[in-house]
Amino acid sequence: MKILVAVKQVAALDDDFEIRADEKDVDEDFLIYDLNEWDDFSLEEAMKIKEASEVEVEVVVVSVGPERVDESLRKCLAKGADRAIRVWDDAIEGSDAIAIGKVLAAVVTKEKPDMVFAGVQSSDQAYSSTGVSTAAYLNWPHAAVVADLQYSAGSGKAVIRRELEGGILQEVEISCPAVLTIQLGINKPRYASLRGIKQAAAKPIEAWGLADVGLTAEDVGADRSMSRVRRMYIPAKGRASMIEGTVAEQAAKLIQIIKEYKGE
Amino acid sequence: MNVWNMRMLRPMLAQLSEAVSPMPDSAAALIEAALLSQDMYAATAVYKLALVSEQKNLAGIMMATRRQRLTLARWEYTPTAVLQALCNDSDLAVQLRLAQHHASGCVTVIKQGQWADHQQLMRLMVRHPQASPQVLAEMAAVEDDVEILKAICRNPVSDSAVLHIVLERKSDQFDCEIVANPNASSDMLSTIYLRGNAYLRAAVVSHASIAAQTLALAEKDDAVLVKRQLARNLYLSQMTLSKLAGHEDVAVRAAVAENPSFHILDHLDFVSDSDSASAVRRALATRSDLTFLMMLQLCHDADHWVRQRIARNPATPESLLVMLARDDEDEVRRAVSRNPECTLVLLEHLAEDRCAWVRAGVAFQPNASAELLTTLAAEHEVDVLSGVASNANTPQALLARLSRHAEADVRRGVILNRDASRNTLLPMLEDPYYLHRLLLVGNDQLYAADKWVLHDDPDDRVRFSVYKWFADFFTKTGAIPEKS
Repeated sequence: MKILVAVKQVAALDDDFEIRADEKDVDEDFLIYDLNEWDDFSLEEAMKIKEASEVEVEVVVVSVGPERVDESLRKCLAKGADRAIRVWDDAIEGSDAIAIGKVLAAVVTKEKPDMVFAGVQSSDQAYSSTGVSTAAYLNWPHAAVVADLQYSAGSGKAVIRRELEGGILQEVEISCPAVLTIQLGINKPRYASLRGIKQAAAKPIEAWGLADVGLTAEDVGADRSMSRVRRMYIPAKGRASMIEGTVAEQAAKLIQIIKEYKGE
Repeated sequence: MNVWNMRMLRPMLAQLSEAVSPMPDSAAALIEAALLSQDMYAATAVYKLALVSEQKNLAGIMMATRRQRLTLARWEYTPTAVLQALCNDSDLAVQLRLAQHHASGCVTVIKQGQWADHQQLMRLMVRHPQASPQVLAEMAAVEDDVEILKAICRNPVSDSAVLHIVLERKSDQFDCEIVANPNASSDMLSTIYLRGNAYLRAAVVSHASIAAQTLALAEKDDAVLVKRQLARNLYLSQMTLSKLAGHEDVAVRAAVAENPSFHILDHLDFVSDSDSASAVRRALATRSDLTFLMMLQLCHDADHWVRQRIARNPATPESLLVMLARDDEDEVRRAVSRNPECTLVLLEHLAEDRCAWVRAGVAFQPNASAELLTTLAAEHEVDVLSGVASNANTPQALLARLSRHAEADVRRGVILNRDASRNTLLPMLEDPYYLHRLLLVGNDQLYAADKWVLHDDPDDRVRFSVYKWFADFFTKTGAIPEKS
């Protein structure tokens, strides 16, 4: 039995940063890279199923990105994933979440997993589309914002609870294989052990090109995306202002603002 | 993994570590190890210790790319010597980060360098805790930028001479900032008091340097804000405090109640007054000079936070603590368990409390016995086990068991336990949480050779801490670290 977990290495911004000269993204020198927080939870969910199962379960992590993504994939290996795959070609640059979904769907077609997990969204781009677009390309059942999962390895069905607005939970039975986008808080992700980290350093990461998944440069990139970044910029500062005065003065002004906000 | 396996694993890992890079026995060997590792964090840790020629090579590792220079200029652990090496960097983004770094000495040279007219940098420089008072004085004398002058006035580095320059040049425009500066002189405060609104006058009254004459004026001030600050003053006369004790404003009365100079025994009605607001009674409950009858009355207060404060008060006698240990409110019972005067008998009673938070209070108690802690260690509640783990009275065998707990909070309690032995801590060098390994680098129970095992740790901060520990060691002693 196999679970494929799609993960992403996301970029976090420091307090100060510069926009790239082409105005399409932030200058890479100011970005701090790490594994997407949602993917920590989806990987942990896969690991829980693996450890609870009486049949053998293989957990495979896959990510679309350049070589620096290997660091995040090694983190996944250190946490117990069995294999790691990285797909990249320079032609993929500029792909939106829908185009990435096509790449992931091609990986799924090749790997033939019994379940696919992805995070609800990434903390940098926040499209919340990649997992669902993967399901669309596969024509698989899917469920988004999964806050609880009852599933046994190899089962043809899963019962999930989806987190909706207002704290409401929706219980859904879904046929498998399926694509599930996993919500934060569904479990408590483990720390990678030191032994795991050291072992992961020696494990191979399979580097695939587009041809390895039956795609070409014509299938990906900005031209094959449903959306394209026009520009990225820092907006002009808004109407925020500092509350001046002594501490007591500031407190009084703050109370006044709160009362105005509440309509008192 | 059981303890026996861990005990086998430790020496194997130590040997492996030694094979990769033997523990340095001198400053030169440490620097050599850092250079060989090509690790920017190791290089950062040993930079100050190195000779000038070695520093060049280390800088080549640390500052090879713009990304690395930006990282070092921002990183909270970057030592001053490394930040100093970045001072002449021509990249504005690096300079902006340096100007905000608490350990950066670069601000002292900004004014002389190519950035002398850069407004954003100047604004950051004048806020910096290492700004030069002389430079601040020079800027105070010529600057008209409001933000820069505000920052100069707020900076505790600005002495009264600097503040005086701003006061003379700009009249009342920066009174608010000056009065908040601890270096404001009593003359300045007096000037500001005489022309300021109620907020400013209140801020003057709260200042440590307020003159007696200004204080005397404040005693006649009707503004409530001023009265609230006045009531906190330790040098007020009993007559003034007595008047303030009857003030209609609750915050004024609460401030009097908290004032240690207030002779509570001369104002028994202050406690017995049933109209008194709970804020006042809460303040009273923290006093150390209450009579037994006052405390007894407060023990029956309708506001449980009043009872909580009495329960926490070290001056509260045992008979009242026994009564409060049966209070319906968890917070009150927990306060009893945390009271430094709580007896062992009472702790044993609270160790069976229905609320885990109360039992946790017992577990953290320095007065708890080894037997009591052993009983609590049978629990599953993480808060209770964390308390047991961090308690110096906990038997070593129990600490060893807790050091393998699945919950990080419990394991961290063991690491922070000042009585945890080396044998208990050694297996924790493998802890999956980086913070725990970081804490162990600084733990005095471990030998240098134990810490060196972490020199190739996957976490940057841990590796830096190990190299820094050795660098500091060689700086102080120059001796060979003790081995296991």
